[in-house]
Amino acid sequence: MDLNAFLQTLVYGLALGGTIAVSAVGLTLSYGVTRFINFAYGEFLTLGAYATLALAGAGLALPLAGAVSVVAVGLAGVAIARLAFDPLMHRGLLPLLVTSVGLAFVLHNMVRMVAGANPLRFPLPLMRPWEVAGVFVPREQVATIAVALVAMALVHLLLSRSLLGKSMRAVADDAALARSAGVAAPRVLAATWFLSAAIGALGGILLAVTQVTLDPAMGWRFLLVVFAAVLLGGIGSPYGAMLGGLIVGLGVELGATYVSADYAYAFAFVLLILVLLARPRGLMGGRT
Amino acid sequence: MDLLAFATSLITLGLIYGLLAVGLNVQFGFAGVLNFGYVAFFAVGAFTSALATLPPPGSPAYVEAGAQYALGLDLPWLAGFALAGLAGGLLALVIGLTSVRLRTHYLAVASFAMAEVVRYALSNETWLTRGEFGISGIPQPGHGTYVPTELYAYAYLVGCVAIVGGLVWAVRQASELPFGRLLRAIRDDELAARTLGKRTARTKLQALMIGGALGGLAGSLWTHSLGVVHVGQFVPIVTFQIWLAMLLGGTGNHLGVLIGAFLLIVIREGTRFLDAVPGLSAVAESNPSFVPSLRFVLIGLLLMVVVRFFPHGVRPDRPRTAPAFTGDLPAVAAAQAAQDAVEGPILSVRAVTKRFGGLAAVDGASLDVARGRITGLIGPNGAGKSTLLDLVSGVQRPDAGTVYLNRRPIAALPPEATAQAGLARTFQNPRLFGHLTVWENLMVAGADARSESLATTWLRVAGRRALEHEIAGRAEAVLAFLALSGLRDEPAAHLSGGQRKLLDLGRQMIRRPSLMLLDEPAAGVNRTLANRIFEHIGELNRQGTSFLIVEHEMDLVMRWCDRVIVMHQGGVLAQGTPAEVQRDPAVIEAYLGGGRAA
Repeated sequence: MDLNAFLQTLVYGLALGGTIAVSAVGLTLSYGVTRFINFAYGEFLTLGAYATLALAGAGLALPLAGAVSVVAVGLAGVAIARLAFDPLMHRGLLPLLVTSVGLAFVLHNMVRMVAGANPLRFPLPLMRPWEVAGVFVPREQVATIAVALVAMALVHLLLSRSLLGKSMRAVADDAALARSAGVAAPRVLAATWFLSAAIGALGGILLAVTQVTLDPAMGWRFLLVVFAAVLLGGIGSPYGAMLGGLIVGLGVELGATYVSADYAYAFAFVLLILVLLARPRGLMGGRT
Repeated sequence: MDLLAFATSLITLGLIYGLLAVGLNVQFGFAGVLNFGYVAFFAVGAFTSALATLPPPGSPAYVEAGAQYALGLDLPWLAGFALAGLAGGLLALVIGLTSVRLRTHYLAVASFAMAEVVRYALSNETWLTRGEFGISGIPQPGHGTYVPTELYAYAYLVGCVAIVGGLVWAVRQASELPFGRLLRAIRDDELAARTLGKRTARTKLQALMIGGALGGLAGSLWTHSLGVVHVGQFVPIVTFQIWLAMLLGGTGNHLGVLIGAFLLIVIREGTRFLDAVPGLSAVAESNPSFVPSLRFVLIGLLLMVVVRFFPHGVRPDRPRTAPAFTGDLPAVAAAQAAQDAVEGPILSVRAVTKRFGGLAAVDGASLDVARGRITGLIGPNGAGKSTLLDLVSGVQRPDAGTVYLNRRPIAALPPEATAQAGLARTFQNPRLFGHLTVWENLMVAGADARSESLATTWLRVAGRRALEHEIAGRAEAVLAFLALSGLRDEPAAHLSGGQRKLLDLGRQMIRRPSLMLLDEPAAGVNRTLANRIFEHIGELNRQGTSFLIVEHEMDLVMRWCDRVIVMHQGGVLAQGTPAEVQRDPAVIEAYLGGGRAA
């Protein structure tokens, strides 16, 4: 086996894995508090990427455009959840699931109405990849890995150190108990939606960088990959989602290189199904 | 466009989507399976039927059409149609066997992923499916031979009306018979159905396969009406359009769902005229995907609006009315229990242990339940009484120890098997089938596997009526015995606490078990009704049924139980007659000590 090609694949796998890991954290956070799998989550990725593109087109520097987009999509997430999900919170699982699917179609087709269906790309200058010991390391991928690591470190600090993080974990553990202990559930819910959407938007920006192009269905297509990572790590567990994201990303890139490029993402779905069957609570899940 | 031709194509499409929606309704509306990958059955059926009926590669027709596909079996259309149903059913079997354990959103995600895997396979195996290009020239049955081209669309519509009508009639038939009743019961509470002796996994699998087969058949009807098939037709939004049709029509009601499909098609095809809206065409010129995207936005919005404001659809599923019963009422009691030739205790529990984490809820408990007697099981809260009932009835498996029912080991059996062995149990909070009426709750409990089988449902018409009459007789007898006749058409969810307890008891009675485990049959019930429940128990006991009853109300225990077993901290503390137990210093200590600690 060609070692350089393997290392090359590894770099791409880590970048994709980091992207998936960040995206998976956002989804799993909202699940922990709301207890349903949000099928519209992929649209936060799409919105994040397109908002960044629009702001960059308006003259903002790309990192600044990205930061503004992350906050904007976070706020949009709070508004969307309040309009679409909050009224259904007490009606069981099916209405929430179906609503999130409907919302996904509404959002990504609205993006398509505005931006058109053609693939676009960020105004990134062409950069010569670094050459490290004969392995070409594209700078975009390295930047993606770095941003993903920083984002995950911030999430970790937020969850473990801040009062908000503790409240979120308390609500995730037992909503009724948390409420009786004085945790303001509606505010925690709003904060959770903000974080989920904002982290999703960041995932979308990273996705647009690692995959070079962005199109209106990118988030919807990527959704199952994110599901795979979330379920692999044990749904509701942010650290599990990070690990699951890395495994899925590496798996997809290695599978594409060494087995079949056509089926790269199908591997992730098969992995997802196998995990569901073997360990419905995920590799790191143990709590019922 | 010719209006008549347009209407014809709309109705044909409506019928095909109606068949899909009915298939999904069998899976979700009846069996409660959250399938978010239903389009896979449609796709598999369409491709199967196309490849089965195409002329083989190399044949004159193939060459003439300039075709490039690799497989064509040249079978008659009917064979393609049948194979499409078979393919859909087999795919459902695979999905069912692998994921029948999964619940709710896990199942939704897994089925969604499976449909995407199917779509990946169809688009990547281009040698078979021609991928994105698809296959055209799919034979249309009778086109140009029996039916002239200009009349073909009308003839196809007539054929669809007959086929879809026949299939929906057959499915509706099954849904209103014991098979469908059991499915609705499973949807409400699967564990309760299992404790009534139902092999729920098998029944759900059958429903899944019927739904899958209907999806496959719809795929065949569709692909032969178009004459082309390509993988781009089977994207996830198709699944959710079928969901929309089902929700719009009225989940659980096949006719409503059929109407829902027509509404969906009218709305969906109506949006094709969006171009005609002034102003939109100007925008559409600069962005060709504007109008198609707008159509999907509208479908997505409709899905959200229907779920939020219109969750029951245009034809909601209504409670069924029980048919009037004519004939003689049979005896209520446990006739078979008296015939039991086996001697000795009816139930023996030996050194049974169950741990939850570090806590042993039941810790080496051993006890016997005397045949033909009423045995009380008492003990402070947390003594392990309900867990013991779970272990005996198979709701949970013991970590160690054995349980014998009529000398037969049952500790490793699932609840449906212990129920079939002659055991019945009620839960502290009655687990009724809330959407089913009182009468239906009893009918589900009373039906046996034979009357619920699909062969009985569709083939043995005379035998089916005799079976149903026999069960209805027992249900009527139980209703009379418990004085619930006035509530027979009331959904169980509307009953009061005491009525729920009574119905739960009746649901076990109708099965004529030899041993009944009752978990606090009179808790939360007023004094008069509690006495009445125990009078019923006493009457059943006189007729031969043995009882093990968890009860806190000591005077009821003293009055009705022949023997009393006291549990404390997971083990058996004392047993004997009520009077002996009441005098036992250890029992007094356990109750008072527990009281002081609390």
